[in-house]
Amino acid sequence: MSLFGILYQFSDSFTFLILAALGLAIIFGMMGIINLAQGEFIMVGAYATTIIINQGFPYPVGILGGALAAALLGFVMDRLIISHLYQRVLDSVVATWGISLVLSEGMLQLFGPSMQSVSMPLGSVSIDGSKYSVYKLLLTLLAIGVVILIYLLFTKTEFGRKARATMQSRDISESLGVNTKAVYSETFVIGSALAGLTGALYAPTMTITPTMGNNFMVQSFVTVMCGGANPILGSVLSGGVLGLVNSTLSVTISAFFGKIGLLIITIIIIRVLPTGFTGLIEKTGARRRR
Amino acid sequence: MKNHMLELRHVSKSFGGIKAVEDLSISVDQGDIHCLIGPNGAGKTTAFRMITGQYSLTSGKVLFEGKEISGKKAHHIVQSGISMKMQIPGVFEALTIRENLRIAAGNYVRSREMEERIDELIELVHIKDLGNRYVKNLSHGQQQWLEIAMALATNPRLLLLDEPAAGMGPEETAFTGELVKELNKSGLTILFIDHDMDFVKQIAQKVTVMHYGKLFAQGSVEEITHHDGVKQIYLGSV
Amino acid sequence: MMHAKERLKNNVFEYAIALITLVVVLLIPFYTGLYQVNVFTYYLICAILGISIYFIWGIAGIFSFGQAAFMGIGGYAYAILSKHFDDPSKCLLYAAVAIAIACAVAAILGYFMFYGGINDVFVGLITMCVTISCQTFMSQTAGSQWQILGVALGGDNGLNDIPGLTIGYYRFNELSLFFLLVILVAAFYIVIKIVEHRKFGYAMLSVRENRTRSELLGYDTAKLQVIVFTIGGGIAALAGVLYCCWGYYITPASMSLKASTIPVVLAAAGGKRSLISVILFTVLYYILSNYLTSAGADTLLMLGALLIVVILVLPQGIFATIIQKLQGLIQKAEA
Repeated sequence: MSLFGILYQFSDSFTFLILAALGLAIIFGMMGIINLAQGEFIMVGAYATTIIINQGFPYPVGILGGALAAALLGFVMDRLIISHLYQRVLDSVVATWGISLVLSEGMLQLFGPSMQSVSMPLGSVSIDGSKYSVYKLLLTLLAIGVVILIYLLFTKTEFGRKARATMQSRDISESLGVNTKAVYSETFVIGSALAGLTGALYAPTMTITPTMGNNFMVQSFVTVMCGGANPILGSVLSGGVLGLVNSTLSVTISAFFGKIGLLIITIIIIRVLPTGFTGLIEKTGARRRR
Repeated sequence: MKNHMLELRHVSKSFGGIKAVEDLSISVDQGDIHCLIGPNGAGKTTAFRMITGQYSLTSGKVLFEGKEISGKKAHHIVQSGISMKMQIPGVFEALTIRENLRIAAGNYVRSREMEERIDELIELVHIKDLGNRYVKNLSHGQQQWLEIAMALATNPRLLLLDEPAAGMGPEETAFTGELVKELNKSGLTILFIDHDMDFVKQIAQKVTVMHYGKLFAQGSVEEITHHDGVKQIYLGSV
Repeated sequence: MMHAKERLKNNVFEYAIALITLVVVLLIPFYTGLYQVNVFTYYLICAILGISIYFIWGIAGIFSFGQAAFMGIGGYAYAILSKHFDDPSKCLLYAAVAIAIACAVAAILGYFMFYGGINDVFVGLITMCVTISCQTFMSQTAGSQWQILGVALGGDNGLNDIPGLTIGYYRFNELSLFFLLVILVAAFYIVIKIVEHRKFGYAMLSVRENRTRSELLGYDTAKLQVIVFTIGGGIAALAGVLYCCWGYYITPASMSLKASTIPVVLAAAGGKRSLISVILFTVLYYILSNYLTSAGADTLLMLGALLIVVILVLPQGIFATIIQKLQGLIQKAEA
């Protein structure tokens, strides 16, 4: 296999891991809640995108629509359910499982067991005699763009300042006049929107079914577990390491071993670094500051 | 050289790059009531957690009855005879008093003698039995005493108390002081952390002062209360 | 002993319900056909899986989606052994080995998690990933190269024609298997109730409530968690063995995401800290789901919605709250 082929495999794994995990990581990092309905938010994004594009709208509109649909859903779920459970982390995790059941079963009732998916746009390019999908290459660029945008959101904006303060200490932020409930709500909506975007972006590449979210589950969980509480740096680092493991094993053995490898390396990583790559970043960061 | 009951030898602990405790040496003798004081952030609780094995040591050694305990796990250290009352939160709030004590005494008394032992402990610290109600309904002071009873249930020879009288009214504080003295008379060695100098004077025999993670002064209550440096850094700031 | 008497008084309502349930269930074969009895046996197998979740989550606070995986491992191991040796008189031995294998897997996984300081939600995530991986692995074993002890694993079709349960020379039929399950569930209930009030039970409670405090009372929390997780895995594996004996087949679907989460959801909705609630809610859900599905309703959708409402309004769980309220009324009436 050519060097470009190997790079392509790696960036494909990396992109998938990052996009699958980013929404989950942001909600986990901020609120300590693992959103077990993450996969279903991705699914909703994919459905919305597919429907919009099938109506004759261009792809970018469909993708934006997918993200917005999931954001709206996230807003409603937060108001109705999650906002009542901010103090009860484990209960809210169980509640998100209820949400996931309702969403996937509800979608099954609404649209049946599967939906005609849209075709993958942009065709392919030929490099060194192998064909590569332009759309998938574009996804990697988009993923990097999304990470940068989120980074700017958390470092350069008023919301980001409040969000980081809330993450450090909820009580202190509250006493300083930060409306932490609002920060939590906004975080949940942003996390949902990112999940929707992931679904929208991958909609042309997979079969659209109510359970398609499960395809993202293992990858998003392992990325967040290895990444730890820092949603951006943690996810990028763990996406890089896990992407490497995944693509190497997938190419050399099989896609199944790529997946198993993810799980095994994750168990080893958190055995060594209980707080994930976030802990590693904080340790070296503190050393440098001295 | 005389053997001390508990000895910290040049103990240090850093988190990332921050040194919480630096080159600290303390010795506690059998039968003493020894107090660890110092301003907030002086590293007192960190020192306690190194003794109990909750934190690993960056360098140094901790010896208990002449044997090194640093590096052992918390539960081994407790089983070897050191027990601790934490600052917050120490009791199992969603359980009853008896359940709390049953858990605490679990490893240290035979099942047959369990109920008797629980009655004994409740009597010792003067808490009211609430029956089926959960411990979170107890007053703050009663919760603190329950926690002391739980620490005692592990049959320690050395008892560590992290601010035993924190948040208590004058009457409760006085009772806590009496309780500590009583326990000491029955043969228990006690090392405790506190801020309240009056309380320290009431019960302590020896005092160690910490400042910025380091040992600042050590001596009898008399010596410490008349120590100029201590007055300046600690007493002066109260 | 005063302690025991008081406990009886405080739980008189729960014990009464348990006893009534036992009588009602024992009477089932007398007022329904054999087919219904056989279906009910399956519900009782699900109840055993529920018991394993109560054991690890309700008592010791270990939030795991891995019970279906252990059920699957136990089931597959039993199926492979009994098909390979093909000697029905050694059924119990196969079951014991199958359960031991699942326990070993649980112990290894538990060791990595609990000695690594992984807890709470992360245990849920890892166990969920493990379960999904087990299913994915079993699903791709369709070819003839995938064999253990000469038994082809069969991919998505799983293993079929597993011999039924035989003890000595007695071959269990539908009716006797049903009674065996009733006895097993009742035995688990009684044993767990006793263990809960022994030292080991209080140690588990301690780990659930506050791990730091437990350490400082001299409990080796990681070790306790591994032990609890291993026993829980063993109970789940027993459910897997019984499932094979009941349906004579096992497929990778027994380790699916759905299979791993529904028992947890049922425990949460019924009342994860009340054993009787977990058992009753699990069985009632399957009875209802059987009726409603044949009437065209989507019971999973309802279960999801119910779970959300329960967590918002009755965080203790539906049945647990009802039992608690009624017990309170009884005590008030007495006073």
